[in-house]
Amino acid sequence: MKAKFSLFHLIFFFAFLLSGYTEPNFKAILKEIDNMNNFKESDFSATYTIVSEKPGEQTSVMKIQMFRRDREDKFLMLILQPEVQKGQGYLRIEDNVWFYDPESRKFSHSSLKENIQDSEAKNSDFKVSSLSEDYDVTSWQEDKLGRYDVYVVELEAKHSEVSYPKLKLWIRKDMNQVLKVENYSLSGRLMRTALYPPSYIKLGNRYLPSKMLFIDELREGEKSQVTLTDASLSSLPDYVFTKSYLERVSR
Amino acid sequence: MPVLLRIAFRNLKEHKSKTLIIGIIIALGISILTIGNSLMDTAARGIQKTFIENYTGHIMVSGKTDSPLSIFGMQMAGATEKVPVIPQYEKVKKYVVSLPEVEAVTSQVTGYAGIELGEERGFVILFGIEPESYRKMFSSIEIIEGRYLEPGEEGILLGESKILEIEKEYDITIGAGDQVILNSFGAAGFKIREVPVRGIFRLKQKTEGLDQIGFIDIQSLRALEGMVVATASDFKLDEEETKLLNLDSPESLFSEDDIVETETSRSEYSQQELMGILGGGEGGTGSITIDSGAWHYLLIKLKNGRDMPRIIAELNSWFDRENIPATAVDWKTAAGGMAMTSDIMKTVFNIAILIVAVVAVIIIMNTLVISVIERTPEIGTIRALGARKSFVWKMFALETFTISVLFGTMGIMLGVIIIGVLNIIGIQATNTFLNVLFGGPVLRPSVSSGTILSAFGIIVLIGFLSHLYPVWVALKIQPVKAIQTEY
Repeated sequence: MKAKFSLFHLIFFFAFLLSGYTEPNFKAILKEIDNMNNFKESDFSATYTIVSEKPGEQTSVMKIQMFRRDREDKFLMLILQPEVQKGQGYLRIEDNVWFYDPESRKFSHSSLKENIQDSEAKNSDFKVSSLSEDYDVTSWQEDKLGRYDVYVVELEAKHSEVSYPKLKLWIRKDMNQVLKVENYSLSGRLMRTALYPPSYIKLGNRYLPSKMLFIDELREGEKSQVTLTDASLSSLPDYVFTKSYLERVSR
Repeated sequence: MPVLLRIAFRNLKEHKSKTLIIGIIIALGISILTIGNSLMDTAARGIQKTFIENYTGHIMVSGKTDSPLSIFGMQMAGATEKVPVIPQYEKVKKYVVSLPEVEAVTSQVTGYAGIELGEERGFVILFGIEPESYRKMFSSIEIIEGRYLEPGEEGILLGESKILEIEKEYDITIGAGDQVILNSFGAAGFKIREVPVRGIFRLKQKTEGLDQIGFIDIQSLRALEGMVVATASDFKLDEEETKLLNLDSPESLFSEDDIVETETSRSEYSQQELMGILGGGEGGTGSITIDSGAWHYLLIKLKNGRDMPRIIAELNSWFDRENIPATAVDWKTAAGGMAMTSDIMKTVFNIAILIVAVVAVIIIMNTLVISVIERTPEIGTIRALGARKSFVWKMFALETFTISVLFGTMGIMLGVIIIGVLNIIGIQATNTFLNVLFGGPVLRPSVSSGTILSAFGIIVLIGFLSHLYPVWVALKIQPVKAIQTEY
């Protein structure tokens, strides 16, 4: 009787220990996701094609050339298409974002929280990823998304300098890649869903999702596909990250 | 009948004070009704004229929305819904133009922008227009400096009062030929446009508040609003670039295996590549045809305003049949809250008149009942002499109708005289609210046949309602008992 009692407690104790050991280190996972999307050691350039659908409207297409220098918190986003917006661009230097309009040759202050033109994608979707710094994990569970085993992790922002105060992430267990993100308002209203299907561009030792789908949850039927092409880690000249480059390139 | 009339007049004469009290109540009520309705009708006509001739036309066609929409955009403050563009615009316009009742059409986009004034930033409502058709349709814009917008050119027309407001508040001068910088802060982010002021206008029918609008070329406003000006058909899109959009259930993507493409490392960008990244083409508006793009509203002026309800119904049923998510509304809906004000006022006023009418009916009824009781022996005698119930009924009906018609007509005449005097003097609008309500700075009311007819209608109704109960009391009187009654 005594032995049986001990065995029961031993099993319970190990089960408890094991369950404790299986809790993943989300801080590290988020850091890993950030690293996968950040390019601290080299410059990064790529072309993004954003195709946006809205009910009752014709499909709109926008092509953007992205230049990033994450180690200095800089990016330059240049609109290549459509023709009428060609040459407009966003330049980020540290905490400042400027919008440049080549027609008026004027700059104005913009924000990372703004949408890129009329699409569902935001400026912040292309900046340095800082999930591990900006958010705290509030809850998590294991689940399956299609054929993939995932952690479903809920995050809450630590400060107000983010596009969305609450996030829900579906993270692949096997490779620290996000498959799906739900963006919530402070009151918990679902604002936007982002899907990152498992189609990757391998750049060095990184895997970058080559396609993303952003679904506006407030306006039914509004969605944008973002496609990544021409990704490169080649270094870029310093003048790219200047206002004068934006001015000169569209002259 | 002459006998009945004689009896009616005799009774009214015999009870002079009662007749006078009832008569004054009726006359005053009817004159207030005539004056009030004339004022409201004139104001409503003024507002209607202002809007139809200056801003909305008779009918406004727009994309369907959940929240109320007017020519000034979404009506609910803080609405997340954006003003939709008219779906299948070309097809809709073609159909509208083909209707024989349509006199003119023009298209419009409405937006809001900051107007940069040195260090300060003002605010302006912008109507993006097609200058040619807009000018043809809304002829009340009078250019007092510079000129009208030319088709296809960039520029803005600002109202005289807006210019005065800017000059007073920001201590700067703006004239035709000056450049102004507009910043839009719409949902599509920040946009900047520098446009020349082509002209300064004044509305022939001045309505304060509404001449705050700036008329801007459509292309500049589309750019400011971040509206889709180019379409997918302009580009060769890779199938992969729209793959996710076309999936019924995007989450089915997660049932597929990993696809990994290894990017071959490209060489560094040369200066030539970086400078020529835009492909050497000119950034700008040249390649876009204005009319084929996006519009918020199609404004329709009819040859005859009376066709409005029928054409609206016809358009809406055509939209349903063609499965186009668009809607046609009248000028009042298009004008938004401004035009509703006179309707609300009129409803409140008519409710007040109704209450006065009910009170009048009760007083008349009460007085007549007393008169019936006083005349019980008389009624009994008439009945005993062989008069039928219908004779007694006619007697009282005639009495009430005589009072109502006599004093009611006097009331109408009094109202018409007062309105006539007001028409000659003119009522000045002392503030913006009255200005909008009057549809201009001075209200010169006039009496319409509708107002007089409705006043007569009310008179007849009062007469009819107030005779019912006294007659009922009178007919209950038994001739035998009545004769025996002594007063």
